[in-house]
Amino acid sequence: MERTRHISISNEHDIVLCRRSSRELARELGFNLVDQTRITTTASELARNIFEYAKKGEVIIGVIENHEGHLGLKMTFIDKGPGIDNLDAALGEGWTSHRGMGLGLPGSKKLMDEFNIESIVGKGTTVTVVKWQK
Amino acid sequence: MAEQTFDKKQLAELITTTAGMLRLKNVHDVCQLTAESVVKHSVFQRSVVSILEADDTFNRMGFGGLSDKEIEKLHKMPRSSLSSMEKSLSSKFRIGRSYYIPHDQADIEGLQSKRKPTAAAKAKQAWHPDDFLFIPLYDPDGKIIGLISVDDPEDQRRPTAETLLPLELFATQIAAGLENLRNVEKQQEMIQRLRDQQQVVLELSTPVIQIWDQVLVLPLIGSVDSARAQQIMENILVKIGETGSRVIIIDITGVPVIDTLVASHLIKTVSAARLLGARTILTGINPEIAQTLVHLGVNLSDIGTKSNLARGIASALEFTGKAIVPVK
Amino acid sequence: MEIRVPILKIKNYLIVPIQVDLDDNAAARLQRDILIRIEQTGARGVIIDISVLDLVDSYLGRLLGDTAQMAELMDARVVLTGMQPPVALTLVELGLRLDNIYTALDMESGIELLESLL
Repeated sequence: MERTRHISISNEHDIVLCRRSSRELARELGFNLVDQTRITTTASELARNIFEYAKKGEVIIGVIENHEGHLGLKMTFIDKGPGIDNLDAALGEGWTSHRGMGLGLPGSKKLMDEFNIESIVGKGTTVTVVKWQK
Repeated sequence: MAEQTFDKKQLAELITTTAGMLRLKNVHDVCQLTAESVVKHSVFQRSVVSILEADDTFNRMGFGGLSDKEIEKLHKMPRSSLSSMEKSLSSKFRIGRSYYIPHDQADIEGLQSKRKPTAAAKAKQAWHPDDFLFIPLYDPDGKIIGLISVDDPEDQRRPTAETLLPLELFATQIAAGLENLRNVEKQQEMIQRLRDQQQVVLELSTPVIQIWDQVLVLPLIGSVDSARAQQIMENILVKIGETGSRVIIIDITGVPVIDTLVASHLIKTVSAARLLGARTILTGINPEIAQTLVHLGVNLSDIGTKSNLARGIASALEFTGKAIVPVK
Repeated sequence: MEIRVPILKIKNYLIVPIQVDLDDNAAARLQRDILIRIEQTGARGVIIDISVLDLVDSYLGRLLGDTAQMAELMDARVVLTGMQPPVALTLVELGLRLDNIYTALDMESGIELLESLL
């Protein structure tokens, strides 16, 4: 059941592919409905960020195992876009104002168990998230 | 008698004067300064500068070396017409570019000198008080636009082409300057007239109608740009103030699209109207404008909206405690 | 292939059942189509039913909220019906409150709500 899926992001429809892919894997891993929704919503948000800010990038969705044998779903979102110059602001709640724009990053952080972001201005951004089985 | 040549100093002084003069903003001042410069820097002690008006008469605008009484007298005299001047513009009177009409051949009203002819004046080359000398000012097409008339030379001698040279050069400069000024003035008049017209059109196209006791309606038609939006805002607020209306219906059924600038004007108008105690109802919003307004973050609690004017009016009447009922 | 969500008209209302996963373009098109249909029909109420959707992210959520506001400017009320519980929970956790749109459990109660509003 160890499967890793790669999805290239270059248009709006690829965001939908990410949703489907993450939904399938989450279902296979036995996540409950709510967690499935959290996972796929996160996939949608972060894949969209790639498309909106970098125009293209890559998403890797796969299964991981921790030292106690617990399985988890890991998603990595990579782009070579402009990068984020103020990470704190981008992750802060202050962003989620006026009609709910910019909710992708702080929202995903709340929906997943682990959240990691690395961004270099001019080079790109990599976001990694994990949700563990209960 | 020493040969008369033109006075270089005179020339230098007159040219220097033109430099400063062309910075003047209106024709009247230029004429005045011209007359004064002529009196100051040439042998002539009296000068009148006239401009040809649209009705082909010469308007005397600049006076040099004349007493107030003389100026007053001149003002009372009828203006010379171009046609009467033309008699003097014949080659027999021409010296250089000026026209000198000896007193015995003159039949135009001229300047009257107070000085009595001196002994030297009685000589052949003498200037007689009733002699008339003027330098026409021409535009680039060669049409007369004015005159510099001079009288009472200090040396009491008749002019020659040579002695008149500095004055003529001066006149050419002045003519160029005047022509420029007139063009500028004409342009400004046109611009002002256009602006006035625009203002009238703006006001006509944004009529605020009082349809009932406390209800105003503003039907907007056509595209609305920022200037029109500004005008609308002012009209509405003034009308609300005048009538004490509690509801203003702005119908934008006839407006296809508005840009963000106009949309914010509209939003401001709604807020301002509220401050005056009036509620705004927007009617006839189409999909494009609905999207623009929401993307701008319009606060819907300030505005009531209805799909068309009829519903808007019904709502307004209800708001002011009235209703339309069928007559039994 | 362009996804087009059907807009049905019943009495003075429009019914919009979203039954496929919409990409961003399709969602934007839907918003426009709804507003144009409101203008064409003079409809005073719109039901947007999302009972088939197992995911509503911040983009779609925002779009639905905006649509409700735009429709209101055109004198129509929008009621969102059939939101699945996991979707509701996730939206709230995301931080999108969606308080600018009416909601109802299903289409039937949605229509009842519209009737009481209009």
